[in-house]
Order: sequence, then structure tokens, then C-alpha cells
Amino acid sequence: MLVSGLSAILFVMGLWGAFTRKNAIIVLMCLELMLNAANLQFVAAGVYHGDTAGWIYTVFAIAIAAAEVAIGLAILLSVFNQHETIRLDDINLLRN
Amino acid sequence: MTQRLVEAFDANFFSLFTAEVTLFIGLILLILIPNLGKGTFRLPGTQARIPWFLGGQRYEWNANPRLPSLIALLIMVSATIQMGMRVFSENDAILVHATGDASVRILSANPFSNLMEFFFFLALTLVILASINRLDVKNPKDKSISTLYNNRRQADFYILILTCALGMSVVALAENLFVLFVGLELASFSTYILVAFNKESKAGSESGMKYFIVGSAASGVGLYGLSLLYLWSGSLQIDILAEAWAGIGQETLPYVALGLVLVGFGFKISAAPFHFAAPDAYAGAPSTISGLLATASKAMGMIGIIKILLVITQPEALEGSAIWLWTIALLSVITMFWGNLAALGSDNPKRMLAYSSVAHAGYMLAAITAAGLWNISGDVSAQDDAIQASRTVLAAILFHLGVLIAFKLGAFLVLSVLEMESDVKSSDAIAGLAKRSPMLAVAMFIFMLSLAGVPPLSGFLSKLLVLLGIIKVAIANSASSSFLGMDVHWVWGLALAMGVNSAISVYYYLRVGVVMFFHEPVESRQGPLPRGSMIRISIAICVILTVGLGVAGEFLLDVCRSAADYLMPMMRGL
Repeated sequence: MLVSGLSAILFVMGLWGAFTRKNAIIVLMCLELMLNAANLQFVAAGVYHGDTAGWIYTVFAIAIAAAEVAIGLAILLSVFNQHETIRLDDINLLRN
Repeated sequence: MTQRLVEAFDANFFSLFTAEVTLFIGLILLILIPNLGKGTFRLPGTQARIPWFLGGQRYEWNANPRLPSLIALLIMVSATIQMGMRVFSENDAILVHATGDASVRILSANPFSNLMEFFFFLALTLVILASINRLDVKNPKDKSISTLYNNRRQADFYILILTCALGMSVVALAENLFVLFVGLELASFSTYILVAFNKESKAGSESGMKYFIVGSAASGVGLYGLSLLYLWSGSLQIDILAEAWAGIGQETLPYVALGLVLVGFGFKISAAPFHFAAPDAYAGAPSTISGLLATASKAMGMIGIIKILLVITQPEALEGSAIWLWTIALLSVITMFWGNLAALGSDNPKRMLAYSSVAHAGYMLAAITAAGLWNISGDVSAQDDAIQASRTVLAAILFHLGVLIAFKLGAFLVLSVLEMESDVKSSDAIAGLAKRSPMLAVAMFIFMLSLAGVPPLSGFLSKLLVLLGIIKVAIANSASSSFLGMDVHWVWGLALAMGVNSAISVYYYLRVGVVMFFHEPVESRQGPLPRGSMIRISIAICVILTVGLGVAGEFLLDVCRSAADYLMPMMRGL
């Protein structure tokens, strides 16, 4: 119960940050926070149900999170090369 | 229908999944072959050099920068043919379970998954065929850095497309929501990179970043929803979840979890209010990739929604399921109107097609709502009609997802021919297309008519089937319910909204025709179009499919019906 509450707090922090923060790196960190909230929940639920599948899900989710960071940073690099900024407010060429 | 049980990774396993194994082998070949060369390494302490075959100068036969595209095309065509044979010959369901434990289900190849995989592979084959001309390939003798760089990126592009195909087939096959999620992420990660593939342009990198941030936020929300579902039921296996859902009590946790998971899939099909990234992503991505997002990626999201809404949360009774039925019905109407009204106001053809794809997501969600109403009437006499009606709607959704590949992807491919000369940023790009290339203009016009739903094209047939299915559901249910004091069922509202929206959409689809046929070409786009023979071949295939499936689509519809027949007992918890 305690762990679920903690993961809920982490998740809300991540979600709130992902939609309000303007620095793309911080947004990326908030996305990670959301994934880690889910990981925490999977581990806790695995213990609660006495089921090891939850832990295996966590291992996969960590791998997914790592791949996501790699892709995100690569895309941010190419954005910085083109726009010379990663402030999300300043990157609005496509809105017509 | 018979069910066969197969253990994961035993001898039978690989022979049953030949198409997917082909894709995997293709991936390895695509990584290896462009890297083969005259590389050597020196034995430490000696002068002896041992050939190592990796790296170094390439051989004559693999120096051709077009080689990756040809390998990818070969692999994808063979996977499509194998899958097509499976669709039209095999009717069994194959359940793959964990080693030593038959109750842990992982994958299932059934008529539904075969059909969806066939659609994915077909769309990706057309994308690969069109991309052969799309990327700038120069003569390998030209040794400038940018050329070498571009030629190397050829391999990356096709590796990502094959990865995407693999992820999509995992989504179609998954019997466990976490497996489905992993497949979804595999396909999404490839599309994030593919959207940002034009990284030398401001628009390309920007669209990639927006798509990535919104997409991974959505999948983060989806994963958290899955973790809540796991906390609630102790398993993410679809059949166990469905059983748990049937015995649901007065709980809020599963509904919260369901809502969060739906956010993740809602983004994939670009349903309102999660569609904000879609127009930007479609506008900045290479057109072939936009076409991929609008067809295969959307079908992938629809599989997730079908599996979660229809298979797991089978609408047993009005009380338990009314919440999601109402929510999805409301969302579908908002999505339709938002997509169509925004498409009216957008001048860029790519954005217009993106918004029209949002509207199509709305139609499909409306149909999903109708399909979920099979048991809502409550009295037994009307139930057979309701079940038949849901089956019709379900088959219509699958048929629509299939034919959408022909005309939506085709429209993007026409734009990608124009993109070969310069970026498509406004309707100026297609102005006077009829004077510059009558064939392409006619093809584009056929795609637009099909999107608008004009007979005898396949878009008309699919829209008609969806609409008829919804009306059939409304009739089957109307005896039992009243809406706002009138003796009509609220599903009639969905059919009405769809009709109104089709009428609105005709305006902006036909405006494309007006711009192409009656406007003069702009200064910067005068001469003949780039040749791009491969794109033209795939456009021709799309035209043939669009017209052919409209007049003779019965065989595809039969396959869709048998896939719906497979889903119906699962929906009814049998």
C-alpha cells in the first residue's frame, strides 16, 4: 500500500513535469520518472501477489526505459543542431 | 476451429512463425551485409594479418548503396506472401505457452492476428517500395562525406522499418498485455526515429521531438495503467484479466487502470484529445513515414483497443460496462468533429491528411462502441440480433483498417513524389498537378474520393459497412432503451455524427481536386516531376487496390468476417 502510494506520487510528479516543464532534458527525466513509477508498482505488486512475473516485467521495462532515453537524447541532439535550443517553447516552426 | 498448443521455442515453434522469423533473419542480414568488407586484424606481436570480413573497404557486390533497400524489399515481400498464405489457407488458432506450463500464454496466431499482420506487412512493403526512390542515393564512386553518410543511412532506414514490422507483429500476436506493450514500444521507437529521419531539416527534427515526447508520455501512462491492472488482478494475461473483469465488484482501481491504458493506445490511433502531436509529426516526417503512421501504426493501436475494450472488458451488463461505452462514444464524436473541422482549416496537404486520419480514428472508435453493445439490451430474444450486428461492425472495422492502407498511404505517396523536389508545406505544392503529371493527379483524386467515401471506391464500401453495422446495432438495441425521452437508442447518434462528418469531409477532400485541376502551378514547381519509378509503381498498386477492393472486395470481407468470428466468442467470454 505504501509503495503503491509512493509510485502514484512519482507518477503524478512525472506526468505533471512532462507537461509543464519547458526544458526538454527535464521533460525526458520526467518521462523516466513515470516509467520508474510503473516499475516500482510492478515489483510491489509482484510481492503482493507472490508472483515473479511482475519482477520480470520490471526488467523488461528498465530495458525499454533505457532504449527510450537513448532515442530521446539522440533526437534532442539533432534538434539542438538545427534549432540551437532545446527550450520547447522556442521550437514551434510547424504550428501554422 | 481447432486450437493447437505449442511450447515456446521448441521445434514446431519456428516452423509456425515463418514470416516473423524471415523478418528477423532479414534484420540480421541488413546489419551484416552492408558492413562486410576487406577488414583485417593484425595478430599481436607479428606482422600476420588475418582477414576479418567486417569493416574496411566494401566489396564490389555490396558497395551499392541501394543494396539495403533491395534486401528489405525482398524480405518484406516474402513475409507478406507467407502471411497472405496463412490468412487465406489457415483457420486454426495456435497458442504459444511458456515452457512446461500450459496455462502461461504468451502468443497466439489466429485468424485475427494473421489478418492484421498481413495488413501491416502489406503497408510496410508499399512503404519500402516507395522509399527506394525517396532517399537520396548517389553514385558510390562519389567519395564526399555527405554522400557516404547518406548512403550509410540507407541501411538504418530499412533496419528501422523491419524492426517496426517485428514490433507490430508482436502486438498482433500478443496474448499478454505486457508482451503487447513491449511490441508496441518496439514499433513506436522505430517510428520515433523514422519521423525524425530528416534530421538535417528544422521541421524533421522538431516533428520527431514532439512525436517522441508526446508518444513516450502516452506510453508511460499506459505502462503505469498496466502496473495498476497487474496490482489489481495479479496477472496481465488477457484471458485471466477477462475472467477477473467478468467478476468485477464495486471497485475503482480497474477502471482507473483501464483509463490510463487507453490513453496509451488513444495516442497511437491519434484520437482526440491525444492527437495534438499527430499533425506536427505527419507534417515534418518523410511522407512515406507519415503514410506508415496513418495506416499501420493506427491499425496497431486499434488492435490494442480491440483487445482491451472488447476482449478483456466484455460488456457483460449495462451497469459494469456503460462507463467505457459512454466514454468511448463521446470521445469518438469529439474526435470526428475535431479532426474534420481542423482539416477544413489547414492549408498544408500533409496536415490535412493528418487531421483526416484523426477523423477516421473517430469513425473507428464509434464502430468499436457499437461492437461493444452486443449484450446491452438484456433480453434474450434480441440478443442474437445484437450479436450478429456486432459481428458485422467488427468485420467492417477490420475491412476499413485494410482498405485504409490502399488510399491513405497512396495519398501520402503522391505527396512524397512532390517532396522529392522540395518540401510540401502548403497547397501550393499540389497546385496544377494535373498539368504537370495527369496520372498522379488522377491517382490523388481517386484517393481523395475514396477517403470521402464516393462509390464505387473501397473507401465508400468500408464507410458504408461501418455505418450499416452501427445502424444494425442501433436497431437491435432500440427496443430496450430510450434517449432524452425519445424511443431511440443513443447509438443512432453515432451514426448521425458519422454521416454529418462524412458530409463535412467531402468539402476538403474535393478542394484538393480543385487545387490540382484548376489552379496554375506556382513559380517554383514548374517543370516535369521527378521520375521516381518505384514510388509510381507503389502508387499504381494503391490505385488498383482502392478501385479493386471497392468493386470486388468480397474475398477480403470474407476473411475479415472469419477474423470477427474468431473474436466474437472471446468477447462473449465463451
